[in-house]
Amino acid sequence: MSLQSIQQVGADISGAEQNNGNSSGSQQKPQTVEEIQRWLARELAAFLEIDADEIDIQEPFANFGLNSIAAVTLSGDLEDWLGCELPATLLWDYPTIQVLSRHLAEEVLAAK
Amino acid sequence: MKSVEGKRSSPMRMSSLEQYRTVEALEQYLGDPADASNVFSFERSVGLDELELYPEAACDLLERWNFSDYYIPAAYGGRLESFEEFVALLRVVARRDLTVAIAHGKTYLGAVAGWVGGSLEQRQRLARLIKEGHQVALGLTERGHGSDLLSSEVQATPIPGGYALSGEKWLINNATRSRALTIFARTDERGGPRGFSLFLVEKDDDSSFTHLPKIKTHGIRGADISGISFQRHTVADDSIIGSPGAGLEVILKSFQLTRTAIAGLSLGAADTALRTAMDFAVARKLYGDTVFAIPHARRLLTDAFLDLLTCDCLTTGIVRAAHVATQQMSLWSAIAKYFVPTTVETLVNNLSTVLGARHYLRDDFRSGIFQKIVRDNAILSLFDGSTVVNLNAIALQLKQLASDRVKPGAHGDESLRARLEQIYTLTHPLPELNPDNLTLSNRKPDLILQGLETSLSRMSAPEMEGDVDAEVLRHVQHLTRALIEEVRRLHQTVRDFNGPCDYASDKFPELFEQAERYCVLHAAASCVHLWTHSRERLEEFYRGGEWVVLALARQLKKLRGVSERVPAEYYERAAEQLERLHAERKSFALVPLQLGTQPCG
Repeated sequence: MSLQSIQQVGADISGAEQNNGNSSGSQQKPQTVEEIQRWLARELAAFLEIDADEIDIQEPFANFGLNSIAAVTLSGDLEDWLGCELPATLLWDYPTIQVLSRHLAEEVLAAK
Repeated sequence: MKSVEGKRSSPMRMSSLEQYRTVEALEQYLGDPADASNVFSFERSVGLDELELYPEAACDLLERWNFSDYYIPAAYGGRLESFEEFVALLRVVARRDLTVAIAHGKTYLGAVAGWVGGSLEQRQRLARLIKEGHQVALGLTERGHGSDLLSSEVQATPIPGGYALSGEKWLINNATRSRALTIFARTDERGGPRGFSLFLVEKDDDSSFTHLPKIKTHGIRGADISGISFQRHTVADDSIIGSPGAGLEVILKSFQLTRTAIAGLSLGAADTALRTAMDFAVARKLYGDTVFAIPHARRLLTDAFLDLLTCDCLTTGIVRAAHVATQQMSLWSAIAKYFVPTTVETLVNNLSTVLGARHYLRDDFRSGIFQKIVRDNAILSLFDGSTVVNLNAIALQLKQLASDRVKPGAHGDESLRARLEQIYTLTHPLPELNPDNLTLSNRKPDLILQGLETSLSRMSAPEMEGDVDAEVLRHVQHLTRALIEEVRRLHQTVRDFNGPCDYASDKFPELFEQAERYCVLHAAASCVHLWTHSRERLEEFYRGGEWVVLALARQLKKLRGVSERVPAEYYERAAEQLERLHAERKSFALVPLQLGTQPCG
């Protein structure tokens, strides 16, 4: 799943519009776990100034240099994107793209 | 407090504001610090500082007044109900000696994690310890890691029935003198934001810990700044504060309260710095007149007074806002902790110019208290999150704050209007401050900046137009519109910011600069709000509003680089107000308190 996801994320990103990480409410709401993964990979890639296909979704956010307070900010941006309230410490409890997107898919998408 | 009230018949006119009654009682109880015969005097404080001795006698005085009761929430038998009152009490101590305020006030810092995240049993335990007169400390930082909390090495290893603590905490205020400490320790070898927990550790007879020697510091030389080293010190399961892994979350929430309180310490120090400079300026004759009559010196002192009032408004707003909109404190506490200590540092440096050679003396003039303030005050921007840490916390929230859903011009919003009124009407009772409402990130529009439009519309109310000088009102309205314009511009700049994204604010000096500007806007907005909401309750000079014009002009100059035109007579009347407060021995504040004139106790 992991390698496939990475490649898939990469493929989607290369064709996607340049977003520069400034993603908020205006975008379409996600329907699938893969969309959430892509969004997170894009945010992280923009932060790291690397290509999204270099992002390993099983790697903890902290290993990308996203510190604990910045992780709180990312959770706020996710909140805006998904249009629902999320705990500020979301990324602390779900510390990789993989576990976070699965959790969000279960909790958030299911609730819609 | 009650024990001492009866002893004294007070000839002073007490402030009519409920929240300052106890504060004035403490001020009178502690007496005049310029009186060398007082236990809590500048002379004693400077003397102890020279010898690097702990201020035992002054701390005893506070104990006898039951000051420690204010470290304990009322729900657990203490007197801490109003954060506004608590911070004002700290200010009274800080104006005498920051060493004492920091050494004694440390127990609140040691206990606060328990109030924020502890169990009922832990809270009762903390309350009992403090009531028994014990000190509580916070063991957070380590040698070589500083603000990088997630690199902390002190380890808590699970053992049957509890944990074994090992490792060293360093640069800990009251590490040696405390009876109990809140210790931040690693509970997951891999670390990370969920890898640490807080423990309430009591020092029993166990020999499994050692104190580290007192460390020599530049300021607050008498304080017990030392450390503690644990060698498999065992603590029971029920010592863990919150759940395992909650350590970082609880301590960051706790800091939202302590960072705000530090602004109060800074305000106390600033009052004494300005008072000392005024003592000199009105008495010293140079070239046939007083220093205060020299236009340059007069302006410098008046500017210091205006900046002190601005910091006063900012702090008062935020300590009250902590009750009203607790969930926005992640932002506001960082603003208070950044703006007030740095502004006071500059203010104190500017006052050095007025004092000339005397600012450098460790003796003689006012016992050399000024040079002690210069050294002591420097610690305030360092601890509990340095200036950089706080600016980063603000910078990280900027994009969110500037996003489209935040409309700085939105008014007519009833709940916004109601909350502004609750915060800035000083006679308005405050709801209880529930620490459960603290959150790591502010997800709401910043009501203090958003409220500028609301306060502007208040200025057109008939009672205001009938009571305030038309020219003053025009000036304040003009400057408030300029602030609103600057808020819009800042939001636009942040939205246009082309950095990779907002999670890396520490990489981008531009965002730090915007965070600094954001704080300046906040400070200015606080003056507008307090004046428009509480002016009827203020004394004549403050009710008039000329000071608002001057204060806003000073902050806007920081943002625009050019000076606003303000009538010269406004400056003259502000200088007269400063002179009057000094002569009448009242605090340099929006609600001036009568200062202690009697001998102590």
